[in-house]
Amino acid sequence: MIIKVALRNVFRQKRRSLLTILTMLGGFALAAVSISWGDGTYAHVIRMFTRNQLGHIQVHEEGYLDQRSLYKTIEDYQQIGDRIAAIDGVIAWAPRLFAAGLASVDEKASAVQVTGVDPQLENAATRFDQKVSQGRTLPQNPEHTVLLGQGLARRLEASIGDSLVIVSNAADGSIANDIYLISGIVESGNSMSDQLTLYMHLADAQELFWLQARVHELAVIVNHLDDVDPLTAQIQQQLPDDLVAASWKEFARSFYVAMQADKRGSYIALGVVLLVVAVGVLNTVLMTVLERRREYGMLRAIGTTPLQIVRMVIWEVLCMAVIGIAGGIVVAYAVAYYLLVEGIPMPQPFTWGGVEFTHMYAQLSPHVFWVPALAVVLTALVVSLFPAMRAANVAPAKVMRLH
Amino acid sequence: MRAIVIIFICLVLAPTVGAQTADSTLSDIIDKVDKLYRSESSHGTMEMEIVTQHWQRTLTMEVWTSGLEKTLVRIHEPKKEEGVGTLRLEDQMWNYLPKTNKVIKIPPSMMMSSWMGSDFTNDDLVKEFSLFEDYTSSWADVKDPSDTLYYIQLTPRPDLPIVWGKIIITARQSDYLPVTQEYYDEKGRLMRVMTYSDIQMMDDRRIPTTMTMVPQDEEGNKTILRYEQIEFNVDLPGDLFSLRNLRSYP
Repeated sequence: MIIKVALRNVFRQKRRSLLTILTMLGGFALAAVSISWGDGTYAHVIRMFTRNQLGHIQVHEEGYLDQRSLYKTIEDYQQIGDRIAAIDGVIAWAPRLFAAGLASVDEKASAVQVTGVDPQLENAATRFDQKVSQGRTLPQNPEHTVLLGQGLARRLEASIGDSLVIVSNAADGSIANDIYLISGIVESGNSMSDQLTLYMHLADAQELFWLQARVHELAVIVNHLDDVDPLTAQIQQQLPDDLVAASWKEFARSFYVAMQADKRGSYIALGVVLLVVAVGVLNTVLMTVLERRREYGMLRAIGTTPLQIVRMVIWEVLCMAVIGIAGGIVVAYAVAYYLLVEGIPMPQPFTWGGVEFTHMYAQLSPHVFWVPALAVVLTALVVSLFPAMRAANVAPAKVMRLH
Repeated sequence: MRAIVIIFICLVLAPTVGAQTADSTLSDIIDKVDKLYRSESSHGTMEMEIVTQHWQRTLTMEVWTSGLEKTLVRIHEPKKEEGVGTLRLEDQMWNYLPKTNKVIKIPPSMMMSSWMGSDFTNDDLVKEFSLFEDYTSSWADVKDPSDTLYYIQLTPRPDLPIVWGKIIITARQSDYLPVTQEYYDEKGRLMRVMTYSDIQMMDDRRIPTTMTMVPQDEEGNKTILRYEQIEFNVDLPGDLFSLRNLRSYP
């Protein structure tokens, strides 16, 4: 009964109701799009960071992350990798070997970070081939070729086809040294690491550093970012005692903390949006109630209880909120979908941690809608309580004399 | 008349000779240790066994020396490192890597770094300081001295770039052959201990043919250097100690 009356009241004053509904719709849509946008950029940055190079989960010998050493290696990595790949939710894994060395091309020399990769597995995990901007990528079987990061190639004044000598210490204490052919240039998207990194076939690196059948790191790519934590625990169970699985939140700790801070910042912005919505709702509801004081007086006079009036006013607001949210979903979905597909090109590409970003995209997931919906309903309820009480407490005799 | 002169000389000089016996024993030992492996020139083959907690490998190498200034080392085994050489002329030093045909000069900052992963430093090969000339020696006070050994403390002359604070040499009283050398840093901490063993006749002299270097700051590490054969005072071709020869292998 009361809901029916409330609905009729909503439609009786079309213009005023529309105004309230529009405020709610606008607030909802704004909040939804901004959440979707925030999620999108957040996920995008993480994806760029993890899928591009780091992986979502990494496996090392215990203590490797604190102090990287040539000797902290993973043995039987092929077996361990196969076991990890069999876990549900894991898309790919890639073994890596890291070692420092001195590379020289003719008279130019530079310190380098040698990264040994398995081309096939690395490609499946981090789309390695796409990062080779010039020349050929690493062949399936080792051919003593290397790829240089772009910055490194520039510093060594090296070009494709030059031969490059690496000198370093091998794991057996001998002097690691060999000649390689530069077959390509890599632009990983991380200009900092491109200054230092040299890629070679894992088998070549194992021979150079005398680390047969051993690697330093396994990078694991998972299907959903949200599954990283449970999967890390699952992988840990598959590992021998001396190996540790860490999620990107641990091995890229500073990055994770920065992202968390950024996310908190976006929630503050969301709070501001919701405050604006709340003030708008309060304004229209209060206006509605004040304008209709005579009406409430009449209702009271014919025997409506104050509680019924409170319920009626609240139902009115709720009805408008539902209509506003329904409309807002349509608008927000349309906008977010556009941002999801097209993205917004950055006027100036910005770099974060050396990774360059040119486009930003939105992301759609259920909480994009239910969080602002809940917020709008709750604020509407809270702010309508006060006017509703005002409405219920009118003195009939006084307000009916108003005209 | 002649007899009088002789008696006179004996009378005057005898007390001094007696007083110097302890000191002359000291310098005799130093001299012996100093010249033990030294000659105008030498040519020998050695085996170097390097043990660390991570790996272990054995090098077979040929070594030529000329005086104190020139050394050439050529590794023959293992196969992977065949032909790798080190040349030292005065205080300069180069490594040659045949695989990449590269000669690398060892910069001064790398002098205290390990030679070929062993517990001997590049400096050990280069700055073959004379114990006799570059250190001042004295009898060392040690706890629980053995009756059959001498203990000698060597302190580097302050004007020389020697990294050790002191070296304590233990030598046998019977033939002055060294038993251990303990290297201390400037703060008096024991850094490494070299032990001599396997005394054998090699060419014209009796020498300890095995030297074991044990660094004190890295657990599980040691390097054992064994002379397989050595000849002293041999004729060596004049251009042996040259960069050109370092490069030409085989």
